[in-house]
Amino acid sequence: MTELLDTRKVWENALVDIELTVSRANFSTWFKGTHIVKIEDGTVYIGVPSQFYKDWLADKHHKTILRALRGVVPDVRGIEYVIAREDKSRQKSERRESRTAPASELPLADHYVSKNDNLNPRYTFDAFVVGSFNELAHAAAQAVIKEPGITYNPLFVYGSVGCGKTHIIQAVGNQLKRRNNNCKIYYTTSERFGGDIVNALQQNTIQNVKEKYRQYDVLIMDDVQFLSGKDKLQEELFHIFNTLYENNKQIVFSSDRHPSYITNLTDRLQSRFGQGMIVDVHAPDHESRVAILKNKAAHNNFMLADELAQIIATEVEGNIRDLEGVLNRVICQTQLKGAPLDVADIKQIVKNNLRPQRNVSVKDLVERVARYYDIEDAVIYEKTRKKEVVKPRQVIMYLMREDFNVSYPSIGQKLGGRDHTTVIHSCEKVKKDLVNTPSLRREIEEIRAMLK
Amino acid sequence: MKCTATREQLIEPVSRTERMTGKNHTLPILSCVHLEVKGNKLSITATNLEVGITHTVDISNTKEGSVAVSGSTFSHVVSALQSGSTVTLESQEGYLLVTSSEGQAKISLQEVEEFPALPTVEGGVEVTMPAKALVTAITSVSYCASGSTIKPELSSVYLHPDGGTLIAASTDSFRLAEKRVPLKNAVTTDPFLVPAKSAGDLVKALEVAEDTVTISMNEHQLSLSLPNIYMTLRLVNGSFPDYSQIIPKDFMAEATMLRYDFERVLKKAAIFSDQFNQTTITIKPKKKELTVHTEHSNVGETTDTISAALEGSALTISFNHHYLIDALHSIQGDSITLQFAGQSQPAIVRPVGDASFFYLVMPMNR
Repeated sequence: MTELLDTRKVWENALVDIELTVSRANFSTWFKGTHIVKIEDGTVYIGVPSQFYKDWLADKHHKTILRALRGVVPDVRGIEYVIAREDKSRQKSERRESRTAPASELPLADHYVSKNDNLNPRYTFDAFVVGSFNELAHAAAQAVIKEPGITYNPLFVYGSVGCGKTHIIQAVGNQLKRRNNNCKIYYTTSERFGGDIVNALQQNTIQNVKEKYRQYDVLIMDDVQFLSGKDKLQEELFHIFNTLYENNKQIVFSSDRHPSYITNLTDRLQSRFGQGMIVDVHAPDHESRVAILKNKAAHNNFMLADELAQIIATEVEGNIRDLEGVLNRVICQTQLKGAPLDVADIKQIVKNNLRPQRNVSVKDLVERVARYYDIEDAVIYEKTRKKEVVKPRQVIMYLMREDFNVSYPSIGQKLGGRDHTTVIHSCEKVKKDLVNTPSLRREIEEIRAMLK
Repeated sequence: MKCTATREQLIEPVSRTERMTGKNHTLPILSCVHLEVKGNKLSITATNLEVGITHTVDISNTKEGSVAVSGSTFSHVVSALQSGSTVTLESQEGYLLVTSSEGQAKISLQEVEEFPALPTVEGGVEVTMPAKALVTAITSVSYCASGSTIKPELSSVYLHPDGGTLIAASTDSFRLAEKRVPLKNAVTTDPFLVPAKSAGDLVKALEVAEDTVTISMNEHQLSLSLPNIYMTLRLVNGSFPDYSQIIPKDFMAEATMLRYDFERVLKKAAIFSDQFNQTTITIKPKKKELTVHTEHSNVGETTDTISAALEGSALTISFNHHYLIDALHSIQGDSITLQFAGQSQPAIVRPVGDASFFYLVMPMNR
């Protein structure tokens, strides 16, 4: 990210110089829409909109540009002009596009996957939220992008479903593609890879498939845990891996578990998975969830109020995909209603769609929570204010209120005749703590899971 | 620079080139045409940095050199000359002298060094195909392209020579047209995207071509050479959505009618359309009726029933009538079929007995 900022600064400074030496009309015609793609070994790659610009700048303004760039970065040796559009400006204007068009659109957006590399351009690092849960994976991915095939080869990303594995590995591919258009990148899932191999075996064209996979500069394979127990596939992958690895081609894998825990995986493949860099992604923490929600909402041109984002992030358990699902529902409901939703609406959506309706008696709930915190269930009803009892009691009140919609007075009555204000205070306290203490959040998640 | 030619030799190339000059551009030189005499050829060049075109004209009595003059001025001067007259163009002390038997015009020169050279396509592929096929393919779909520049791939015409067929498609994400034109000689290249704005210029240039045209292109640039014309334009770098996946396969209702009937009714509907251009089609297969209803709260309303062959179940669905009528312009046959996949599913317009064209249109939310 810092590098991106740098090139922009460099070019801005150089443009200030250039502006002084060429006429205004010339400047606004030929230099608008240019940017620095990258700086490598003293060569600056300048992105221009089309061949016209490339020829003209190289022909007429080369010296001016070189002089201006040397004024900013002294060790510039050469300039290359490449035809490339700047992505940033495009994304900004995309957001401005109104969604109020009266006719509904053809559902084209989902079909932009490029056939050559299978990469979905939606997955980029711009749309990626970095938090403590995926910091390491993000850093490793950035290192890979800097020196593909050298730093971490292979890069192995693992984590449970919906934590952004596919996003991160596809973003690596997209970023590398953006940097170097000639780079041959291929994204596949282990299942599709299996299909390729099986088809080839049937049609006796296995050599072609091997050739196909060996020509890539970057091979990205998703969900390799499905190779478990498929010996022939593992063998083919092993050979492809070796060829690519020896030629310093980058390989990226993802899986839902650490390679050591993938069952029925041959040792030689297992050790190869581990020889580069193994990073994991967890479920996102509260702040990241809020950031993810805001990011996704912005992507959908939707204004999500801070308060609502906080509530969704707290209420929705589970992974990013679940968050996305709830957000989509919120957007849809807002469009239907024609006005922003309030807290109650959001809670309704979250409840309707995520919590399975279930009946658990108060006694049952108390028993399980007590067992979870390892205390006698009878003490919950007593008037004791011991710390180890108060917390479970508050959790029970919170759960009764949030998950089962019991009224405050009746919660108080059922838990040993307490005042409803006590219950309100307890619920508020848990709610507040949930935001700040990840351990409490985990505990409540676990209790909820037990109740299901 | 000096040369002599007849007015008739010049008038067509000059006006065609002048059209390509950059209008309202920040760089004044782009509103100029570039005239260059080399050997016994005069080449007239203009560009708006998207498209560039050069026409060459045979001339006599030459002195080599090049100048740049305002395109519109030069074109007006040439067309105002007496027909059949012989013209001499000569550069002299900051002016271009246009001399005919009747008199002389002096057009001031612009800085010729500022005029950008037209790019050539480096390291691409070359394909040859009938110019007519290309024109048909582009004009059948280009009106569907989006006018906005936000998604460059949607404001383009998608062209894909795929074996014996040239596939063309365009969409603004509300409707989509696809045309397949058979090619005599099979050619296959990667698909490429011509900006819709330049597609019109490309068609105009191709219209003069009689037989085949050879196109060379790389990832970013396309050029074509015809006798006396060289044209080059920027290609859009991006991937066109894989639209085959959104074409509905099952239909709940189908209506076949005369194209003329439908067009007439839609024209009537246009009179009463509201700000969203909404018109509502109701089909009742049991009563064998297809009704088109349009209303505007201030103007009034119109309801028309067309005789049509109907299949499937009853349906009421609304469309932007502009989108429907656009489809009819590129259909030549007598009758058309409308296929409905249901509410909020795309509908399809097809010419009857012609599988080469279809038009996909989204209904409006009601």
